[in-house]
Amino acid sequence: MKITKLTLICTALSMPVVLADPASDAQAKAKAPVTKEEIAKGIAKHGTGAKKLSTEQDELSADVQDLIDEQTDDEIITLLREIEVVMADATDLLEQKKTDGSTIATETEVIEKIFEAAKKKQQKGGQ
Amino acid sequence: MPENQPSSQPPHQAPIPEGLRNQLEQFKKRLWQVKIAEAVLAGFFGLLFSFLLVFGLDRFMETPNTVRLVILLVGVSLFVVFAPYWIHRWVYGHRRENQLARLISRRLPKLGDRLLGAVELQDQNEGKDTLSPELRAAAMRTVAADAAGQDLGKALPAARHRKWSLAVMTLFVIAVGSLVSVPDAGINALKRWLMPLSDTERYTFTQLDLSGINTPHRVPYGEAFDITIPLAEDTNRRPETARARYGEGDWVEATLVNNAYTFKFKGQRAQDEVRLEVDDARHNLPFEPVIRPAVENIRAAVKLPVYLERPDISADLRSGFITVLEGSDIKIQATATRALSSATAEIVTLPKEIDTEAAPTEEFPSESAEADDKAKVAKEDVSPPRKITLKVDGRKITTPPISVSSNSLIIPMQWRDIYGLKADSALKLRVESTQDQLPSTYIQGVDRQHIMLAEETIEFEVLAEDDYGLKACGISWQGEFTKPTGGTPAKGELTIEQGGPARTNLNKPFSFSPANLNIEPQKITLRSWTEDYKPGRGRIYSEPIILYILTRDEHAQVLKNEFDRAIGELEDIARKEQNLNDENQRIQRNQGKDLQKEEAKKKLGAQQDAERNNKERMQELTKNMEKLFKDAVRNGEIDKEALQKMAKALQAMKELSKDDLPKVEQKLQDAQSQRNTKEKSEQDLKDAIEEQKKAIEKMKQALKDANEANQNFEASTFVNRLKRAASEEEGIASTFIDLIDKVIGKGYEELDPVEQRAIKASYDQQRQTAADVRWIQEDLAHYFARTQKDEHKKLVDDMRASHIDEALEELASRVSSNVSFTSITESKQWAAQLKKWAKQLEGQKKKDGGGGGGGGGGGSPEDQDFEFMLKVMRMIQKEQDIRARTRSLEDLRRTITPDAPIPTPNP
Repeated sequence: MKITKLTLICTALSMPVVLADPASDAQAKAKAPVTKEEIAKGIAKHGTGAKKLSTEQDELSADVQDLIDEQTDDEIITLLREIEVVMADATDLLEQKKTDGSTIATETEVIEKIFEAAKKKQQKGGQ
Repeated sequence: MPENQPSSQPPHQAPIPEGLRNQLEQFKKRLWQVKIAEAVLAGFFGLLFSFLLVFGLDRFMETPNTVRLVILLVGVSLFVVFAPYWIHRWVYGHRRENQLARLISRRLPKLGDRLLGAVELQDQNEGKDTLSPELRAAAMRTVAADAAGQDLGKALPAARHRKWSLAVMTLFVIAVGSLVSVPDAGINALKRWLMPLSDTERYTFTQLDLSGINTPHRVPYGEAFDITIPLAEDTNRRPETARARYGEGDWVEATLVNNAYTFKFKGQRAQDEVRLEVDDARHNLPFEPVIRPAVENIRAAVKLPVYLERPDISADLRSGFITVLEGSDIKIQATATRALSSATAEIVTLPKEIDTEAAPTEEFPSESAEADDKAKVAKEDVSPPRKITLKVDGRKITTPPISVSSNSLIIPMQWRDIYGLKADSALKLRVESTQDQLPSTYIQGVDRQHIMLAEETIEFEVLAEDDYGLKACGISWQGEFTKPTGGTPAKGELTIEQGGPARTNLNKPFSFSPANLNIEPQKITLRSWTEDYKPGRGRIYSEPIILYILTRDEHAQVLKNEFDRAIGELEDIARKEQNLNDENQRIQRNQGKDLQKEEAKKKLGAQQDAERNNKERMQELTKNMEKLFKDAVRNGEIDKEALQKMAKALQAMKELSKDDLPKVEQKLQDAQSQRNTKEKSEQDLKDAIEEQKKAIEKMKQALKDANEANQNFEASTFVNRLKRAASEEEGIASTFIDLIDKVIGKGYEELDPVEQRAIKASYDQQRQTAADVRWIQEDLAHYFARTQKDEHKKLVDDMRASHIDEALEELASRVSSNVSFTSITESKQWAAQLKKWAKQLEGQKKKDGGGGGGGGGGGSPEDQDFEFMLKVMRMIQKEQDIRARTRSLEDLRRTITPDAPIPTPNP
């Protein structure tokens, strides 16, 4: 069974972890679309999307809470609680319709911390 | 007497007798007359002679100024120097009686001496003792008496005044005659004689018009050249021939043609004079060979069409060829190697379909018949060549702006320098007209067809290119449901990047998230678009990318199919490995003692190669399995046991591709080593066979795990398949509900084509669902035969008992006949039934071992660990999806409003 866990970890680690990239100058200099309607529509779409993501992030945070409930090891629980806190930050940022580098960096931190928890769990299982 | 004495003589004491005095006076008078006449005539002679000398010389040569000056000085000197001298000698020097007596004594010595004595006695002063006045008077009388009998005229010196007169008269007549007969020449000679230092040109009877000859006159360097020299209008003579030579070269003769002489000279490289002789006309003309004027630099200023909003372009045109966009204006500026006097050019419009290297014109004729033929065709299709006025400023030639239409142009240019030399050949510039090409765009970084879940995000780059600048690029998508549904297909577009007049390339990465764009599962045709500045052209779209956005059950079915293929591949690899093992054992048995032999080595080499191939296949398969596993975890509807078995098989496959199979390959290689002893080779082969056997066992175990995973996978897909069939039945019902007002009570033929099309689509879908359900039923029966699980048997029995397969076929007939109400009712009914069966099977699975992802809590610690890892993986995947979608939203925001502030939340 340890082999299976190792496979899972390796597979998970092999997934692309893309760090947040700040907005490039070219992007920043891109010109605005012509009509105000398009801008308004785009902003609305952006807002709706961010809101939806915020909800999904919150739901994922609830899954972490469920996972915490199932754990008995304090160290793992502590790590999962930290994940929950960072996820809450990400949820707040998305709630504020912020999708820039800071939000992406927070989400990257969540992913890193989940990896850390997985590794810790594997170490505990191997002892 | 004293009062009768000449004033030049002092009064005498005893004057000579009166008769003698008169006689001497007569002599003196005659002497003076002759000598004065001689002096005057000599003076005139000098003047006339020098004039006639110049006149004569000028007829044969260009008398130099200095010679003419000397002639004039010598001629005038007779008058100015000789005449006074002569008069002084003969008049002043013979004014006294004693001087005259001496002159007489030269011809008449006796008389002259006596006369001299008598003249001297006049002033003799002596004492009374020695002087006797009577004697003196007597002596004088005696001398006078003697002289009276003599003709003193005989004592005059030789008189030349008559000869001089004759000579002067002759010269005068000649001079007057020349002035009268050839007054131009005479007057010209008179001028040149009187003013030797002036620039009075020599008069010749043959007059040449040299106005066309420069000083120096430039001719092409090293090239044969002609000089045409016409006769002047006022020439007196028109000789038939003339001759000339360059420097010391051979004389070149020319005959009079059209009142001009044309001399043909060979190529010259040194500066020299051309000696020209035509009758009495003689000219030395300085000539200088110079290189013909060439183009030193040539550039084109291209003013592009206004709509492009681009600045003018300055292009080098030394190649003689330029490609210019249709609608542009081109201005050509050439710089020659020498200042120019004139330049000409014309515009030859080429026909679109003919590619002429050079279109001939009247001024710039072609050199080949082929070009002429082409030109004939060209002339039929295009306007005739038109001349343009060039601006010449020193060395620079500038054309006016030339508009470039859709036809290409040839612009032959010729120029003449300040020396009158032309270029070697006309400069032919070709202006190729091109059209503003369509921009192109494509999507890079994603397969042509891509399967994904709605919450996934794909990243790709949108690239656009154009020859003259892009306005913008973006993406657009058009959805299409693959089955009847009440929803509206997705449709939208985004501007990803704004371009600019100078931006010919746009390259922008983009994250496409269907969930962010509210795109439900469906088939999406995604294209990139771009637009250039050409008015009225509109957008250009890329080749489409087809995105299949799947529901989870559709996704699971796709994964199942892929997993089936992966298992088939694994079986094949295992079978191949077994065959290789068998062959290795045969080699060991038959040639075990002779492994060092060439034949055995060759076989071992072939076995090693085959082993390497198998290893590589295994590595490739492992990679695919990893992706499959990742997708299965993401799907969330694959049950835990299937994932667990899949993970186990995957781990074994990784070990096989990384350790076991390479080890076998290595051992087979070692067995062929030249350095091996016989025993060592045998041992290596034996080890290889043993390792291979272990690997085969591991493969079999992996295969067993994979098959078990597949069974669970398949079981979970039955649930999905049933759910999907139910969903499609609901979709059919939903379509009829939407149409009911328009279709109820009508026959199919009576319907509007729109409704007909909708009903036809529903019919096709119903047929497809009926076929799917029949396959579910059949697959379940086979599955039960393999698993012998009761729930599968029960479900097969229930389905058979319900005759769902036949019922769905009948429903298809009703749908096609537009029996709408029954179709709605039955579709809903069968949808409910299918859902019920799905729930039944799902409930049983959960009861057996927990559902995929949910529940947990029970089982062994290892199972709990696996469950934890599974949950963590799904969390990571979800978080990665959220992050990718966040990035996609950010892309969206930046494309819409890069400078706009981020909206603040409502309090």
